[in-house]
Amino acid sequence: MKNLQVIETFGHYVEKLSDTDPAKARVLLKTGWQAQNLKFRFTPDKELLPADQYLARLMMDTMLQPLKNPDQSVLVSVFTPCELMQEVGLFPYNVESFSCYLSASKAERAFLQTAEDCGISETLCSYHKTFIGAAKKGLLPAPRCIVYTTLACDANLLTFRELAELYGVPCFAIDIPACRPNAPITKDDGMLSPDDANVAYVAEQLRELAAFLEKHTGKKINEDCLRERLARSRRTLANYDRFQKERVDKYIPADLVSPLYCGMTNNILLGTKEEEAYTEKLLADLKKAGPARGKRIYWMHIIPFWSDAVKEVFRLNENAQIVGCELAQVANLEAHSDDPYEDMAMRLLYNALNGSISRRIDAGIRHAKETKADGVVWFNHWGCKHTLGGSQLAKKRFEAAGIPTLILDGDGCDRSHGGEGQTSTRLGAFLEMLNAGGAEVPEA
Amino acid sequence: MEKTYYVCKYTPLELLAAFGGECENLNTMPEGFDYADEIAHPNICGFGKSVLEAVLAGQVKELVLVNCCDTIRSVYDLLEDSGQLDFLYMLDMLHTMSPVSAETGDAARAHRLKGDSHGAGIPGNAARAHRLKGDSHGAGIPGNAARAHRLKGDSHGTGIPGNAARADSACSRERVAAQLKDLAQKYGEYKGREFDYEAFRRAFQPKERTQEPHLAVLGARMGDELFEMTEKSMPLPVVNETCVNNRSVA
Repeated sequence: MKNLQVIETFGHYVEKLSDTDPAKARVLLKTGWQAQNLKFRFTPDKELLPADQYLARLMMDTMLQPLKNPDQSVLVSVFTPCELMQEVGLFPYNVESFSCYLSASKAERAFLQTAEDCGISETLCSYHKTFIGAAKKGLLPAPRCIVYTTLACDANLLTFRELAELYGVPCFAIDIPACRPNAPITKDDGMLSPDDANVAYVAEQLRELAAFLEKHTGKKINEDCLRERLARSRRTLANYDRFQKERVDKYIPADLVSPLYCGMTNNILLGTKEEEAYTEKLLADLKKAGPARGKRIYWMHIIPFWSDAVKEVFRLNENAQIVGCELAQVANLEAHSDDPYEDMAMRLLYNALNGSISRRIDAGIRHAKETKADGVVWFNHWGCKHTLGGSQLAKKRFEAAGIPTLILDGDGCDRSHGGEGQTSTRLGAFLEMLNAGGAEVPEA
Repeated sequence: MEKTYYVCKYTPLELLAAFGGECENLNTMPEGFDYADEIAHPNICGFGKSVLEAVLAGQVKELVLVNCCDTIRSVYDLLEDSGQLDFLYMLDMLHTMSPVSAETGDAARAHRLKGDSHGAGIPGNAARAHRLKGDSHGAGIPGNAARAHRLKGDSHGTGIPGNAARADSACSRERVAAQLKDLAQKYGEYKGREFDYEAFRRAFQPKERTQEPHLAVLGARMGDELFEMTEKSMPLPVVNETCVNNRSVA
């Protein structure tokens, strides 16, 4: 990963030091990331859009916060609505992003091993394992508190409770009911819709979360300010949606991390001025972008940024580029309530990854078509049963919708998972097929 | 009459009995996954594939699932798409959550900051010390049976005393009631039967618990065939108290 060469140098030493002196390892990690952040500021990757250069700095600032100011940080799961946390002055960071950064620092193996040595199953998601291992080694400082949801996977239910016990910090969980396939999302003529019970259930928990945050920070949440922040969240999502639609005839240079960063920041930084600014910069950069060229791929699920095989095909390649990642577009923009707690509840409930896999597939088809994607990659991250389980159905439905689809097995965080040869072969064949305008990619 | 199969202990069997349902736990271990591998990714959990195999082999026509885990949710999606079942329903149950005490957390943090990173020196923190020494479920610590139970598969956490509080709100009760009523309506329509209150009451039977010396199998799921092998090889009677077998409602 070109942009993180500085970090890699430190990564090896971070791994070694965390065995003997985790406090020093943490200092080293923070120093390495701060050095990388300076590099982002003073020598950004000029091949990327200015907006994406800004995003790299924003993401690094977000990852540095828990190391610099742990007592002002809150550990969250990726889809946790963070507006309430922002209102009480807490900086959110999520397990997946932090583990990505440890992996990018080439420091993940030791932490994965630690987690497995402590009895964590080898089949648990590597993002969660990496974080748990790093926490158990004492590398990561305790946050002020932990807030997570049951969306979208089982790993949340175990990881965050384990971390709360390990750190001994207050922990709040939000249970998200499954979204029904044909759920109406607005009230109709004053009559209660069948989803009102679900929205009310989640909204009630969010009100309890507000009380929890006020208790543990000593700060009061002003509802008018919260409404303003949620309005900003909606504008941010609307901006990004517009960017995705308007990029159809433009070439946007893409590495592997920018779409992934956006998948994280469009969730945990939603509501911040910085994330809104990012989407405004994207729209501004779009006006100067050149005409579209090469094959356009919409990516479902996380992107294995560490993979040389994937980099070779997609990184800053005019012949083939990733034009979107589903994680940045999970919100249903039609779902809205004037009540801020109902509004956040709806964003959770109608998340594309909530409920039947059909909802996720339908959202993916819609977004892939909006960006005029030539094909879709459905990435089966090892340990993600939600994604693995739906892959065959996804291929069937995407292809019925006229979108060639490659199911790619791999691991987004653990490079020792291997499979580079097969990844290279399958991606190569897929692109070849798209370029030839030909038939279905044979299964491996 | 076709049996209605289930796989989760939260399945409201008594409600199904009220509509004339004859329920059976689907817990077989197939010889292979030829059918399952045609429609599912090979790396999903073996139990999920067992359910798929049984249905696709034609052994199951009626199935009620609960959203226990990602695998079962995927199984539901795949089976719904297959159209192989006469009746298929997945109940969306709550997950109960219990915040960790802030007071306990502060003492732990103070100790940690003084260098005792495992926090073993704090009264009540023997659990953490035990875990970090390898007993990751902490089951060896008196009073920690609840946590061990949770970490071994009771992901709903309802096995833990005091964890019911979060789920016991007006909204959560309304939600669960709505789910159960929906199941009742759909199952009743399918069976062509009305709700029989007497049958419903009769279905609530206390679970028989042996008081004689025995061995108990705890944890997640153990297939019927594996349990039979275990029974035959142990010197004492073996009781299956794994997840779905440890169902008790009366």
